[in-house]
Amino acid sequence: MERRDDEAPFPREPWQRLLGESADGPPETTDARIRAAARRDLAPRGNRWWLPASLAASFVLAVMIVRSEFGTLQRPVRIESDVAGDSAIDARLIERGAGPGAHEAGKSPSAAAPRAEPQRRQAVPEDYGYDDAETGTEDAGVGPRVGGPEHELRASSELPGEAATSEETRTDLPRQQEAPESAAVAGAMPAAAAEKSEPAAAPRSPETWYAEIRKLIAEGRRAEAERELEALRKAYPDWAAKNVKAADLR
Amino acid sequence: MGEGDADAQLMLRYAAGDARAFDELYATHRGALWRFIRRCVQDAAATDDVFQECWSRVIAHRENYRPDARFATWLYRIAHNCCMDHWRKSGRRGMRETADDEAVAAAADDAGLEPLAAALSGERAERLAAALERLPQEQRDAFLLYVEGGLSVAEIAETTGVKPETAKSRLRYAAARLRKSLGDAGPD
Repeated sequence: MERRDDEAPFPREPWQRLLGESADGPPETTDARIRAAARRDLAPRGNRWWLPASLAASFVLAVMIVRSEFGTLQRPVRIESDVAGDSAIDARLIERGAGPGAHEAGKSPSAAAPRAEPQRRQAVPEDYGYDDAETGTEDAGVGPRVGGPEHELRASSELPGEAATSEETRTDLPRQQEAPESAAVAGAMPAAAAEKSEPAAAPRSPETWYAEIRKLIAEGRRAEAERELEALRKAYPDWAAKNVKAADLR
Repeated sequence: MGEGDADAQLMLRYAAGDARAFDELYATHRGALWRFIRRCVQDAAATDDVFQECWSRVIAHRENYRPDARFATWLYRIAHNCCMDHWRKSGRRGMRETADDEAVAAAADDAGLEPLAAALSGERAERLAAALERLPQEQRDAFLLYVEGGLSVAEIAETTGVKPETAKSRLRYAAARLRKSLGDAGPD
C-alpha cells in the first residue's frame, strides 16, 4: 500500500520528537520476554512429530482394546448358572414348543428330553476348553445347582401354573441327565445320536450270536433270525462259512 | 523498496523461521509502539500487559501476515485492537472521551506554565502528555497512529474502521487541541 502523506493534515516529525522526549520505553525484562517468546514459538516446529505419532498410537491402542473386548464377547462366557440352567431351558422349550406334539405322541416331557440332548451336548464345557473343575458342574449335581439370576428372573416372570411345570421339569433334571441310554433303548433318540452318545456295545462272540439265532429259530421268529444271521455273516464271514450249517437253521 | 517493505520482508523472514529478523523488527518498533500503547491505555501497569499481548499476537499470527499492507499498518491495527480489548475488559473507555475544548484549555492553563517556560522541551513534553490524556479517545488514537505509528490517513481510517474523511477530521481536531494546550510553545 502506498503511503499518501500528501493528504497529511500536519507534519508528524515535530510531534514525534516531542512525544519521544517524554515517554519511556518497555522495560528490559519485557524486551527479553517477548524475544524469548518469538524464539520459543519457532523452536517447537521441528519437534511436532510426536503429535501425529501419539495420535496413531492412541488409535492403535483403542483398536486393540476394542478387538480384545470383542473377542471375549464372541466367545460365549458360560457361568455356572448358565451351564446348570441349560437342561431346564431345554426342557421348558420342549415343553412349550414341541409340547403338543409330544403329548400327541403320548410322550411325557421327560420322554421328550432326549431330543434336546444333542443340543445340550453342543454346549458342553469341554468344547470351550473348560473342565468340570473350572465350571463347577458335575453330572450328578446339576439339579440342585439350578439357580442364579436367570432362574430368579424366570421364576418372577412365570405364571403360577407355569412355575409348577418348571418345578416338575427341574426335579426331572437328574433323570434327564441319566436318561439318554434308556431313551436310546426305547428308540426315542435318533440312531446317529444314540450311537454318538452311547458307549459302544461289547461285541458279541460269533458263538453266542449264533446260539441266539438258533434260539430265535426255535422260537419260530424266523424273519428276525434271518436278519441276525445275515448280520453275523457280514460281521464274521470266515467263521460263518465254517460253522453255520443249513441243518441248524431248519 | 521503501521502509515499509523492509519491515514486511523482515516479518516474512521471521514467519519462515528467522528469529533474528524478529529482533530487528522489534528493535525498530518497540519504542513507538510502547508510547502508543502507553498513551492509549493511560495506565502504566496495564501498558506492559497490552504491549506483550500485542507482540504475542504478532508472533502467533505471523503466518497470516501478507505483505499487501505495510507492516506498521498491520502492527498498529493489532495494537489498536489490544487497546480496545483492554478497555472492554476494564469496563471503561478513555477517561476524558467527552472532554471538550474548554476542558483541554483549562488543563493547559492549570499547568500554570508561561509560554516561554514551556519552551523547555521537557516541560513541553509533559504538557503534551497531559493534553493527550485529556483528548477524546478516538482523536487520541488517530493522533498516536499518525505520529507514533507513522500511518497515513487512509491507513488510520482502515485501522479504526472509519472513513478517511473522519480520520482526517479527528487528526485535525486532535492537533488543534494539543497546540492549544501547548500555547505558543507548540511543536513547530
